[in-house]
Amino acid sequence: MRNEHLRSRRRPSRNGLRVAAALAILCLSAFRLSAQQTPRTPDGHPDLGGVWNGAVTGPYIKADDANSALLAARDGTLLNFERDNTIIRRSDPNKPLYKPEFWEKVQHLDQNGNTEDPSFGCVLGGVPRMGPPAKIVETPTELIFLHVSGGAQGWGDQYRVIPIDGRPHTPLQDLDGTWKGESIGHWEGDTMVIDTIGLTDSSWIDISGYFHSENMHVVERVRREGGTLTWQATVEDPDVLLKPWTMNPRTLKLNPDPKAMLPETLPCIERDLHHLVTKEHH
Amino acid sequence: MKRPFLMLGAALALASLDSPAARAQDAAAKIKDAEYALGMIRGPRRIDAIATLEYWGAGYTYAFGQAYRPDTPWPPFKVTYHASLSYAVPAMRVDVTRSNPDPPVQGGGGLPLAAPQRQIQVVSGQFAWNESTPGGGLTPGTTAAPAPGAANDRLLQLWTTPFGALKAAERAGANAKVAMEGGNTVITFPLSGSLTGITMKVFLNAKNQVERVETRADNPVLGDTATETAYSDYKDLGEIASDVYFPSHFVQKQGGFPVLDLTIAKTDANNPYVVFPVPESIEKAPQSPTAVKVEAQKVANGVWYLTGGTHHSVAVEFRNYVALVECPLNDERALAVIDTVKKTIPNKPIRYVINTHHHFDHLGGLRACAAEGATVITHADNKPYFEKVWAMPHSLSPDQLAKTAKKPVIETMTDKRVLTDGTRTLEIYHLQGSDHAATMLLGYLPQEKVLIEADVYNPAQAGAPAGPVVRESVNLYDNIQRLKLDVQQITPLHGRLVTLDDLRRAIAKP
Repeated sequence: MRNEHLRSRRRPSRNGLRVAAALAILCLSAFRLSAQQTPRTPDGHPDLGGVWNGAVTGPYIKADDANSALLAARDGTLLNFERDNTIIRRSDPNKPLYKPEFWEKVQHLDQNGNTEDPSFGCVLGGVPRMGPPAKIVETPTELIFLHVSGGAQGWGDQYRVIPIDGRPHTPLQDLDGTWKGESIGHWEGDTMVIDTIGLTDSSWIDISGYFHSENMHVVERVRREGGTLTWQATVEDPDVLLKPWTMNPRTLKLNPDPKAMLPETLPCIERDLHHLVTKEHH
Repeated sequence: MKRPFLMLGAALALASLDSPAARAQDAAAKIKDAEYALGMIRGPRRIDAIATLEYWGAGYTYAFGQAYRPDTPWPPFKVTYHASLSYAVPAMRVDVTRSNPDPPVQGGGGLPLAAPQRQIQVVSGQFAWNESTPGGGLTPGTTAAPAPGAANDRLLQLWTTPFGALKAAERAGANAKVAMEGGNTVITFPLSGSLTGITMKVFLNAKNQVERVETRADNPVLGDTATETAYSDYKDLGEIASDVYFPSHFVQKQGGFPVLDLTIAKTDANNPYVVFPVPESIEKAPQSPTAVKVEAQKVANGVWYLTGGTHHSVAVEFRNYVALVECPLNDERALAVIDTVKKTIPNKPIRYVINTHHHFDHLGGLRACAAEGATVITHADNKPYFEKVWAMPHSLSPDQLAKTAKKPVIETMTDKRVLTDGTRTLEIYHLQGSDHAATMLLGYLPQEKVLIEADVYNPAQAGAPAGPVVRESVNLYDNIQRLKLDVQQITPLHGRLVTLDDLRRAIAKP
C-alpha cells in the first residue's frame, strides 16, 4: 500500500517533468520565432498566417485570460476570486468616453450585466469584442480569421472572411446591421488595417456595458513581428462617443507546432441565467 | 576583548533597525496593511485595484471664514452630496445641493439661500471647472465655467480620501515615514506634483483603517492652517458587495471648526464607470489665475474707488495721510492696492485701514496693510480674535507681516468713529441688525455724500433684471435712515458704483 502510494505520487511528478520540458521547448521555439525575421508572402507583405493561440496576459485581467480561474481572492480562498478579478478588470483606466447623456446608461448596463449583456445567452461577441483570431489563413485576396471563444464566453467558434482585394465598402444604408458587419482590409506598410461598418447595435464594444450605435465604425490594426501578432481596434461612434476609443492592444504568440490545432469550443446551451443571484457579471 | 565588539555589533544592529531605509520599508509595509484592511488589494499579484469610486451622502458643508461672530463655528448649509473619483486620472466631480439649515443661522458665505443651490465642481488633472449639469460643456445647451484657482484644493480633497491618502503615501516611496503618535500609527510624507510643499499625515487605527488625515497649508488669515479629516465607522456600503470598506461618517475641520460633516449612505467601490473629459472651452481657458489688477476710479475729490477684481477698496485722501477702507483677500491683492494708492495719492502714507468686518475675504489682506504701517480700525469685538490669529505662525508661506515682524496696531470702535483733519471727514458706523456679520461697519463721507458698504448690497451688472429683495439690503437702507445719512453715491466693495436710487429699486422701496 505504502509503495503504491509512493508510486502514485511519483507518477505525476514524472509527467510534470515531461510537461515542463515540452513547455520549455515551446517557449524556446516561440522565442526563436519572435527573434527571427517576419515571414513574408510573395507580394512582400508580412505573412499573418498561423495559429495564434499563445495569449500574453495584459495588465488588466481579461475574460479571455484562462489563468484567472485559478487565482485566489484577497482572502486567500477561491470563494470570491471572480469578484476580485472583476474589480481588477474594471480598474483599467482606458475607458471609452461616452457623451454625458449616456453615462448612466453605461453604468446601468455594466451593473446589470447578467441580464443586459448580449453575449450572455449564447449570442455572438461581434466586432470588435470578439478580439483577435486564434488562426489566420491568408490568401492574396482575402484573410480568413478563425476564432475560438474562451471558457467564460458563450459565443462559440466563429469565423470572419475579410477581402483584401481593394474593393470598396458597400454603402452603409445598403447594409443590414450584423454582428460581424462588413470588413475590408488593406495594407498600410507592414500593418493590415481592417475597416468594418454595418454592425448591429445589439452587440457591445466590450464588457462593462460599452454599448454602441449602428453607425459604429471599427478599424483594427494587425501587425506581425516574428512570432508575435499585435491586434488593436479603434472604435469611432459619433452617435454615442465623444471621441474615438482605442482599445488596449492584444498580443498573441505564434504556436510553432506544425500540427497545432484549434480547440473545439463546447456547445453553448444556456441553463444558468435564471440561477444567478447577482446583477453584475464577472 | 570580545565584549566591545558584541556591543558595537548590537549598536549597529539597532542603528540599522532605525535607519531611514528601515523606516521607509516599515512605511511601505504599513501602507500595504492599510490598503488590505480597506479592501484595496486584489488578485494574485496583490495589487491596489481601486481606480474609481462613487459615494453618496448627506450632511453639512460650512462656509469657512464666514462666521457671524469672530472665533465662532463656520455657518452650515444642509447638503446632499455625490462624489465621483478617479485616482488614475486623477479627477473628482462633486455634485452638491446646498439648502438653508433648519433653524436658520446667521453668517456669510451666501446665507440665506433664496432657493436650494446645486453646484457641480470638477477637477481633472490640471484643469478645474464648474458644470451646469454632469458633463456640462461637452454637449450643446450645457455649460462649463473655468475655475483654475480651485484645481489644487480639489486635488487635495481627492488625495485626502482614505484610499487617496494611502495611494499618495505609496507614491511617496522612500519619503514616507512611519511613527507612533498617541497610540496611532502615523505615516507622514510629502505630496508631489502641483501639491508639492504640502505634507500629509495619515493616522491609522488599530484595524489599520485610515482614522484621520491631516495636511497643513497657508491661509492669509490663519497662517499655517491644519485641515483635519476624521473618518469613522467603515462599512461595505455598496449595493454590489465588493469587500471594499469606506467610512460611513467623516468630518473635516479647518481652523478648528468643521467645514464638512457627511454621513455616507451608499458607495460604489466596484470601479464604476465615471469619466472626466475636459471640455474644449476649459482646455483653451487660461489655467493660471489672472494677474491682480487694480483700477482707480475717482468718485469725488480726494475719494478713489479701487476696483479691478472681486473685492474693492476705497481710498480717502486727507491733508497728510490716506485712510483706506478695506485691505481684502490676501497679501497679493493688498500689496497691489497699496501700490495703486501710492501712485494715485503720492507722498502720503496710509495711516489708517478700516476693516469692514471679520470675514476672511475682507480680512485676508489686512496683515499686509499693517505691515505697511497702517493702523487697523475695526469693531471692538474683532480685536481679541485678530490678535489671536495674527500671532499664529506663517512659516509655510511667510507674508509681508511675517517678514517685517511688525506688531500690528489695532484701534477699535463700537457704534461710531470719525476721522477728520478739517479738510475731509470720514465717518464710520456700526451696521445694526445685520445677519451677515455682527461686526459690520459702514463708511460715510458727509461732504461727498458717499456711502461705503461691504456684502450687504452687491449690485448686479447695469441693466440686469432685478433679483429677489435681499433682507441685508433692506437693513442697510433702514440703517441709512436711522443714521440720517444723506447718501447720493454708494461704493459697494463688491459690484459697481451706484446711487441710493439703485438701492431703493433693489429693495422695491418707493
